[in-house]
Amino acid sequence: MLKKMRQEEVIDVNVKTEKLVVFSLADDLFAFAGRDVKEILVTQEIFFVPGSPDFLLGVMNVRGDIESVASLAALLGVPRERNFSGNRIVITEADEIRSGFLVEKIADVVDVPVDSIKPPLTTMSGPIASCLIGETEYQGKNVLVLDLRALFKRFVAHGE
Amino acid sequence: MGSNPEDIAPPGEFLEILVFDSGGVWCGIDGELVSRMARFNEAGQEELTLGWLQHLLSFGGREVTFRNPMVVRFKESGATLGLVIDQPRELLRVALEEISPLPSCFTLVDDLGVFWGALVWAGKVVLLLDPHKLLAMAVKPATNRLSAETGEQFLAPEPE
Repeated sequence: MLKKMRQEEVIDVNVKTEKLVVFSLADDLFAFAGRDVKEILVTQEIFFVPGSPDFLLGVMNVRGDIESVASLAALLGVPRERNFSGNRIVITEADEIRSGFLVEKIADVVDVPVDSIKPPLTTMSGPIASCLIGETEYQGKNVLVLDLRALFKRFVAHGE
Repeated sequence: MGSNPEDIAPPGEFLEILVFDSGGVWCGIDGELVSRMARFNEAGQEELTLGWLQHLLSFGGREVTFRNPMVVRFKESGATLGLVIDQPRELLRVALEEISPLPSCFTLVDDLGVFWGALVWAGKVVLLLDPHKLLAMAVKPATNRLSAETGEQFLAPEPE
């Protein structure tokens, strides 16, 4: 019995996992890959930048550094973020492009088995469909795992 | 995208930045480029092509009201171009090291080349404008006058 348990533990350790930062937006759960997330900040004053597209909310002062803040909802074409005290700005970076995204609420930071992330439903349409790595589950709810590089490509598409 | 701060002045040097507020947006221009600044009504605007910030760049539907408009004329831009700014606040002496390029995601959005950098002053993010790029977008004779036709919301400066 003990030997069997030990074998199971060894198997568990060898399962390849992915860290996800799970958050809510427009009544759905989304996630960024943990490796793309540099920092999670409470919301603070955002300074509007004239001429910027509507999804770019502006810039903010983070301990003397200047970070951009984008509306994830506007990029994904879902209802805009509601104002909660739990609103957070998730600072992300990929391929030397860096930006914060406003999200409604951080749900959790979890390690999930890589093979639990399934390809997104082919029936999904709209901007979201092109910005997903896949889907997984968190506490019985569906989580849409976002592809940060694809999101940054949408910056270009919006800017044109 | 705008120039790098190091293209404007080499490291270790200082810039004098004229900070002003337009429609709640904090902007700065290199004071070295300014040849003359005058109150709007005294600037001889009949002879000038004026660039209004909120006409040249989208303010995302924000209401822009001028309280203390000034016309800034620049060296090397000819005698006929002027930028209308509001509420000049401060002439700052800023070390080049204190100036950051705009966050990397702004490189994805072409229209924002008029901002070549940003700095933090009194907790606020001040966007540094390249007036030559901005005024190259100008030349709108219809915006030359303050009148009901232009739709400008203008409050006359309070008597001193």
